[in-house]
Amino acid sequence: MMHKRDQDYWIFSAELRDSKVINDSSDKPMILTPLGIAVKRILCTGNVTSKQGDDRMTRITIADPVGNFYVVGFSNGFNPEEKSMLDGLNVDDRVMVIGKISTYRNSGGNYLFSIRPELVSKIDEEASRFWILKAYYFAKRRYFAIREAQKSEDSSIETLKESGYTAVEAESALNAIKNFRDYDYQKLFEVIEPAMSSFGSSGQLPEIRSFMLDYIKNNDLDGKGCRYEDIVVAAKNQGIDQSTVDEILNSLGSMGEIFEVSLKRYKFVDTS
Amino acid sequence: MLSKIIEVDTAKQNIDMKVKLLSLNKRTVKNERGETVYYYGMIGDETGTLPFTAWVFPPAIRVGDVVEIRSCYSSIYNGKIRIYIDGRSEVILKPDVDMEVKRTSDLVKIRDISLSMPYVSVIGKITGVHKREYENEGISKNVYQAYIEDETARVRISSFGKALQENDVVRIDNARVTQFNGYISLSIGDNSKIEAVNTTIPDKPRHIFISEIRSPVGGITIAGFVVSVGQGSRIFTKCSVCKRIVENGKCNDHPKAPVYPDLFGYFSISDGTGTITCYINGDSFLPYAGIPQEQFRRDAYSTNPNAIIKKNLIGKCISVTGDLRMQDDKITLNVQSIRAISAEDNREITNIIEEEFQ
Repeated sequence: MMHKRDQDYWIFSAELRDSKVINDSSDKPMILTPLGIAVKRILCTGNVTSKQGDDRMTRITIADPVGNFYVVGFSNGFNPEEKSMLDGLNVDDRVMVIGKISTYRNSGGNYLFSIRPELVSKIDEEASRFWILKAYYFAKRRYFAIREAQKSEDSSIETLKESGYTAVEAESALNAIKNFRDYDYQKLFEVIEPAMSSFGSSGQLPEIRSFMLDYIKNNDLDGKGCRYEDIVVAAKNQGIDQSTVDEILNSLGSMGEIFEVSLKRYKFVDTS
Repeated sequence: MLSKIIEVDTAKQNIDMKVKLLSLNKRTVKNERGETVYYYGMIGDETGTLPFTAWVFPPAIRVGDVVEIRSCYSSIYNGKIRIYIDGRSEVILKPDVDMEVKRTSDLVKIRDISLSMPYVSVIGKITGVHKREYENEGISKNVYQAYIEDETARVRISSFGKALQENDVVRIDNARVTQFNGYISLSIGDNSKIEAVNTTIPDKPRHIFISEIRSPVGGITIAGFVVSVGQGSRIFTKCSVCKRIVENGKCNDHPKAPVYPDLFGYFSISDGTGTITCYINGDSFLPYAGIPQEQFRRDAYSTNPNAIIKKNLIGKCISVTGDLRMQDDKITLNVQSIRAISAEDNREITNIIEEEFQ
C-alpha cells in the first residue's frame, strides 16, 4: 500500500503551543492548531538558544520570532541520526528543523509539544527570513478564512473556495471553528504580528537598530543577558521612545540577531 | 427522451443523451483501500460541450466516437456543471454516426490549462518560434512550434499553417489542449483563431504554490526548503550532437561526435503547502553549486553524484524554475535553474503580504 508522506506545515511556535490533541484516547490522536491545521510534521527555523543532553538524549530550544520550539533527539530512536544531528549544533546557530510532533501531557493535564527531528540544517539569514514571511502569510490567510467562515452558519469548503481560499485553508477554517469555539485569535495575532512588522520598520531605522545591538552586546554584565529596563533608559537618553525600543527588540529577535534568554533579558547572537 | 447539452444546466438525475466523445483520460487514485480507476474528459453535441467523470467506461470507445449515454446524472463541481457516469449508466457506441460539435472555449490563464478542457482561449506572448516544413498528401505545409507564456505559466504550442511571430502578444481562441510526453501543449488548427492584442506580459518569475499545481504546465518557479535528496543520482555519458545518453562511449547515430558526462539527480522541495519531486541535470545544478563545466567534465567519473548533490542542496532554501511534467499520474518538476533565496525574493514576499493584508 502506498503511504503518502505527511505534509510539513510552516507554523510559528505560538500556534503550536496553543494546539489541542483531539481523540487523544484513540489509536489515531490528531494535533489540531488553533488555525485549524491537523499537523503531524512541521518545518521551522530559528536560533538555537539552549542545548542540553547526555548520552541518551539531546534537547535543544529553537527561538522563532514569537516563542520557542523544543527539539528532542534520542540515540535509541527510530532514526539513529536524530541525536547526532542535534549534537552537531551550537547555541546561536541559525537552523531549519523538519520533524514530527511529539506530545507530552503534564500533571496539570495540559499538552506540551516537542519535535523529533528528521532533518536539521544550518541556514543563512535570508532563508530564516523567508520562512518567517511564509509562516506569517500562511497564518494570516488561515485566520482570514476563519473570519470569512464565521460570517455564515452555512459556510462550507465550497463557499470558502469561491471566496478565494484554497481547499486546505477552507478545511482548516471549518476545523478551527468546530474545535476552537472560544479561542482568542486576536491574542494569537498580537503575538505573531511583530514577526512581520519588524521587517518594515527596522530597515528604516538602521542607526537606532545598530545602537541597540551594540548596547545589548556590551551590557551583558552578569552573563545573564542585558536587562530590558537598562535598554529602555539608554535608548531614552538617545531620544528613542519605549514603543520604538519594543518594536526594534522584536525586529532583532525575529532576525535572529538577539534572543530573549529569560523574561526581559536579551543576549546578542554572534553570527560572524 | 434525449437531452441536449445546452439543456443540462442544473443537477439532474436519469439523463439520456447522444454526444461525441471529445477527450478521454484515465486516472488511478491510490488510497488506503487500494487503487481506484476513473475516467474523465469532455463530451459535446451541436449545442455545446461539458466535462464528465465516469467510474466505468467501455474500453472500445475512442475519442471522436459518437455514443448514447443512458441514465447518467449531472452535478455541480467547482462551480460548473459536470456529467457523471456510474455503474447504473449505459454507454452505447453509435457506429457510422458523425456529429458536429459546437466548440466553446473559455478564456483561461495558462496555469489553469488542463486536459479536462479540450479547447481553450489564451492570451500570451509567443517565444522560441521554430518553423518546420512537412508534406501532407503531396503538398508542402508549414508547422510553427513555439511557446506561449503569460504571467502565470508557459506551454508549448504548435500551429499548423497559421504563422507565429516571435514576441507577438496574441489572443488564441479554440486552441486544442493536448499532452505529449507528460507536458501540456496547445495545438492551433483550422478552427482556431489568432489575433494580435495590445497588452504587456510582465517578464518576472511565475511563482506557484505546490498545492495550486493542477496540470503539467511550464516556466514556473517554486521556492522552499529541500527536504530530501534521492539516492539514485547518476553520471551519464551523452552525445554532443543529439544529447542522448550513449552506451559504450559512442553514439550509434553520431559515432564521430564527441561525448561528454552529464549528471542526473533528484530531490524533494517543500514550500509549506506541499512537496514536489524535482529532477536536475548538469545544466541546472552545476551553476548553482559553483562547479565549472570544465572541472565537472574532468572529474565527473571519479565523483560521487549523490554526495555532491546532497552537500549542496539538502536543507537549503532555494528557488527552482522549470517545467512541470506528468509521470505515472504524478506531477514532477524538470528543473532548468536553481538559485539560493535572496533578499530580493524576501522583498517580493513582503510586498505580496502588504498588498494582500493591508
